Amino acid sequence: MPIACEQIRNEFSALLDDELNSEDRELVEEHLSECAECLRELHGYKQVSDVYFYHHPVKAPDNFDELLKEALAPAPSSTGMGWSPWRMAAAAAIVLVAGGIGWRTLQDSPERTMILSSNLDQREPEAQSAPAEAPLQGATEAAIEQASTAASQDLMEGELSAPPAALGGRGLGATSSGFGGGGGIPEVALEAEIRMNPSSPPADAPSLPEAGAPARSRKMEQSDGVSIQAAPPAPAPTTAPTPTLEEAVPEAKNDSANAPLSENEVMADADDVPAEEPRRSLLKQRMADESPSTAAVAPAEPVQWRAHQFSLTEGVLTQHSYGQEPLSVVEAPSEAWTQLLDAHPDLAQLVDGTQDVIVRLDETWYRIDVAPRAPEAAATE
Amino acid sequence: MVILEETQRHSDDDLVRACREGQDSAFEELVRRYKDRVYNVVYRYLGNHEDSLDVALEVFVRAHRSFDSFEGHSQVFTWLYSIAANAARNKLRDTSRKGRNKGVSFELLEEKAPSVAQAATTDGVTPSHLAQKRELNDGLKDCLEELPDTYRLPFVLRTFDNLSYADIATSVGCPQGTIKSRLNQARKRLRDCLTHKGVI
Repeated sequence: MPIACEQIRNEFSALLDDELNSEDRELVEEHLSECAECLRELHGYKQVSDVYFYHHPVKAPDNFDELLKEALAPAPSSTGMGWSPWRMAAAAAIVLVAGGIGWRTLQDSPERTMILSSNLDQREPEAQSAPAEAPLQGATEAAIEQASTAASQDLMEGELSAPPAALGGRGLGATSSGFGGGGGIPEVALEAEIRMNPSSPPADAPSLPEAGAPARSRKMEQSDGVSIQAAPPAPAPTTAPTPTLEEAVPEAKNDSANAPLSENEVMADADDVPAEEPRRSLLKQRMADESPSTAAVAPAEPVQWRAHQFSLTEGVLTQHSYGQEPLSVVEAPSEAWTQLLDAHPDLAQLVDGTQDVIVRLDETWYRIDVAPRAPEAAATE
Repeated sequence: MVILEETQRHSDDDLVRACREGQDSAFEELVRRYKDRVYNVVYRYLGNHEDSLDVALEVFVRAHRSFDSFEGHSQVFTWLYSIAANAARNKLRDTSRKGRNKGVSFELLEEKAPSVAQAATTDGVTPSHLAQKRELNDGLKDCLEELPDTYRLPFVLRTFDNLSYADIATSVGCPQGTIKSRLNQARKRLRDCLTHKGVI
């Protein structure tokens, strides 16, 4: 597939969604007028939107408002009737959880600090790739599980009469559906150190590729920090009729598409283009950039430690100085994650597979999305 | 008599201001305005009503507790969707860890869908038509379910709620270019999957 086709196809969704600026749209339409293969490909993209678009919207249940009121209502206070058995079980679980957390925290803190501040360059290669120690959240869940197990055992022994469901899951009012409990995973601040590259590359250094992209078709874009994935060549049916441009994109010939950019469009695009760089067609920019070297992540350089503080909130480990800047999302595991890890081996200390992490590296904020574990893997833990 | 209902409606910003002042009626109006949209998107993302109800309720509970932190830099619905995105991801993660089946169930397709019009038609419904329809629904369900979460969420927001790329970027917390790339990948993967299953 010619490189032009590959880059044109990267714009298909934006074309179908009318999110291309007039310049890029003209380029795509010009290409489509000469390339039957791409036009057929575009038709397939449009079919996808069609089959999903025409679903009946699902409405919230009729009793949604009532349920919401219940969820917003403050938790009922004690009725003065004494401790019911399930409350005793819950209290026992809380004591066990608190004890478990405290014990694990006491156990974890020094070791964790040591790991985070150790020099990874001196570690064995396999140690660098090994997942870091279970985080505090993992300890919390383990403690809750331990508490639940203990309470369940008590229940089986007749000492408690609480239903096991009262202790199940995350329990203790912290379930995702337990709105009135005011629970949730506690925010835990911990001191950590992470090595940052002192000689940061320029701001227009290659960004990470899109997570989950096939290696054989990856190409990255330098200007806007957005990875560009090229579609691998799809077997085009030779017998299928080639749709016309109007069939594939009914609004393709809409005159309004060629209208000057609105302020909003300019602003939207400007978000992705470095301010100092004159605004020009992103597509042209990509087509002009055919250097395969852009796909390479900068090699790891000597790094130094700097102190940073992180907080753990609802499963996301966040550096405290993060201020809602745009994030480049990288799935872990993925090839993009592997490349990032190659450039910053110390990341393995923070990303241990149990929680998402927001971290700044080389002037760019990344959110490392930990892929949901397979049920079998979760069951064995 | 013509009732100019639209002119009497409060803007979202007005409602948020009223919510901050503790006016329950304003919050009720906000819920009435967005509960179906939020629920629809969450349901398309998660694929089952039980979890969707949990998450949709959680969205409004969180919103109710954090109106003070909403600074108005984004629109109210993108703020709600950003809450929904986080809550849904957490729910999906929890569900995945528990090994529970998602069990996406799709409603009947409307006739407008070109490739499924024959099966979705209500004229002369036959067992074979019903079987075809079920197969199509299963195919759509399976393909959407197989899509990685990072692609599925932007696709759901775009396809089922027609959000702009800028609004999706705000809701998901990614640059707009990333959203464009993910949507392209989502459609490509879905096209391949649906073609493989014979849906399109």
